[in-house]
Amino acid sequence: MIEVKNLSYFYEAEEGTPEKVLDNINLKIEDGEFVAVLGHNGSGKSTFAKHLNAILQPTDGYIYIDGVSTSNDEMLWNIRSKVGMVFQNPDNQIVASVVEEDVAFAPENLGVKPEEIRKRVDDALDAVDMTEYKNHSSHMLSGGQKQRVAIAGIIAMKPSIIVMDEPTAMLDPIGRREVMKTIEHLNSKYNITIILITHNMDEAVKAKRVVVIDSGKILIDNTPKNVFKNVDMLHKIGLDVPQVTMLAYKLRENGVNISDDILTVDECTQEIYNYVNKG
Amino acid sequence: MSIKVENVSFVYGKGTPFEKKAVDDISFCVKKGEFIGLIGHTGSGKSTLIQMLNGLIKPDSGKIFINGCDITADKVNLKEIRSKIGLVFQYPEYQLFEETVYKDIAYGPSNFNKSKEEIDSVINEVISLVGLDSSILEKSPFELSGGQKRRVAIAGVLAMSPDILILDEPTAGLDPAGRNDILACIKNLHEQKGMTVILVSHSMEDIANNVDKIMIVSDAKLVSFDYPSEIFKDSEMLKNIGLNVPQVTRVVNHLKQKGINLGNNIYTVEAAVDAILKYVKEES
Repeated sequence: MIEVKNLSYFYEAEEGTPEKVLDNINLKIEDGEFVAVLGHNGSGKSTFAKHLNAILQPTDGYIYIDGVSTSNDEMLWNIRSKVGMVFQNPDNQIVASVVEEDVAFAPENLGVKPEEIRKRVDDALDAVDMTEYKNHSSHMLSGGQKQRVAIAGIIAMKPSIIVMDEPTAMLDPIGRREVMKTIEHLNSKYNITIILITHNMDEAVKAKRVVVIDSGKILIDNTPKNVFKNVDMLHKIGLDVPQVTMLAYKLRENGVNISDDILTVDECTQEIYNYVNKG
Repeated sequence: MSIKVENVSFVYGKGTPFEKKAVDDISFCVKKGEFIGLIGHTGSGKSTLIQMLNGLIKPDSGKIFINGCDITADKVNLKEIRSKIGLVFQYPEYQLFEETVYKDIAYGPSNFNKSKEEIDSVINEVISLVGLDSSILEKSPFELSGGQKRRVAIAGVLAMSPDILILDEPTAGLDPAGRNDILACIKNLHEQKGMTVILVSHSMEDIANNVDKIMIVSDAKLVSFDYPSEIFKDSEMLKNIGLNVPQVTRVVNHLKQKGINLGNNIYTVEAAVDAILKYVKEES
């Protein structure tokens, strides 16, 4: 479980006063949740993500991972093996030239026994559906495949939580789909807690909970349906809503009485169909 | 300026085990002042194609004419071609290198021997074209936000006063507000300066909202080059090559299957709203 209590963080400035990036954040995330974190560039969401595995430590307040404070330097390794991080650029996260060696890198460094490493690597590649590429050269993979190998490398550490900082931003639609499928699979089948930082509203819709951060504060924390209802507010802080949500919103503005919490193409089709047939 | 591409092909690593056909017998014509969206997934050959358009890559076979001038011919003056065709690469902000924004934008024109006065006036013009304030000129480009850096990089290309602007995924990695700013800026260049624009993007929504025509490249071939209304009719074809039609177009297509025909040319939220309101009015 992740518990964030009164978290504030200041970046040191070269001159003048330090800049406040996170401002008194309180949040509880239970085991097995799938949470999307939204916010425009500079809102503080990546800074927040980096706190979850103690890359950054709070200026004020605390973060507890399964009851252990990330400010406790003696427990850093423990925390980092529990909370895995996946970053934006797949090319920056691949260290070995063969896929399975790359996945084995983290458990090797944790001192896991060779037979156990073999098993973990096989399981991890299976979890991201990359088993058939295990002997391939890692630099010849597509972006989506590389990102899945990076995720496998994290899974091989057996984390209970994975934090992803815009993992699909540099991928094409096929790569995005592959990675999103993998993320959903890890959450539903392996019960791994997922924190997904994203700019893509269609991806955020797939989460079970959406947290919106603006100017270092939590603005909304609710289900996707209840978050994306707030079209005006999201626009005001530089965020978007899925195109079908926008369509429903504009139709409602024009007096078409359909639901205000539409998130998918199917829901939208059904609502318009019902409306037209009723009228 | 018009672009005419005739039967162009290109192979990477010819004669090696890594031989790969990147562009396979592609032909098309872009008229002056057109706004073209170029779509294709990673590895489809679209980046190779756009690099050929300003002579960075020379095709193995075929010809490319820019305003009637064959740039694939021997001894052609590529320097002049490149000043006419501005190419904005992916993540162009990684190419910023100077001490100040001013010097960075001035780099291109000063290499083309423009005078100080000409450079000053061109910089003032392009900085406002990309929606930045001139107070930014004396700052270091590395102090700016991601969206600002990208606009500075685009300004650097605009400073060469190109007639044709080619942008390779200019909105990748930006947040929604940053993305809308960049797209508005490109649209503005097209409308006010009459610039011919080729916009490479993965986002069908971005493309559908802005362009005159769409070019689809898949497996090194030009699959389709047509108006958005024609392209989005064939959602199966798009799906098969790993692309998506905009969400609203899918809604419209699904409604059609259910017997509600809203018409064909709907790929923006505004068009869908109008069509639905009209349909409801006619029905009642």
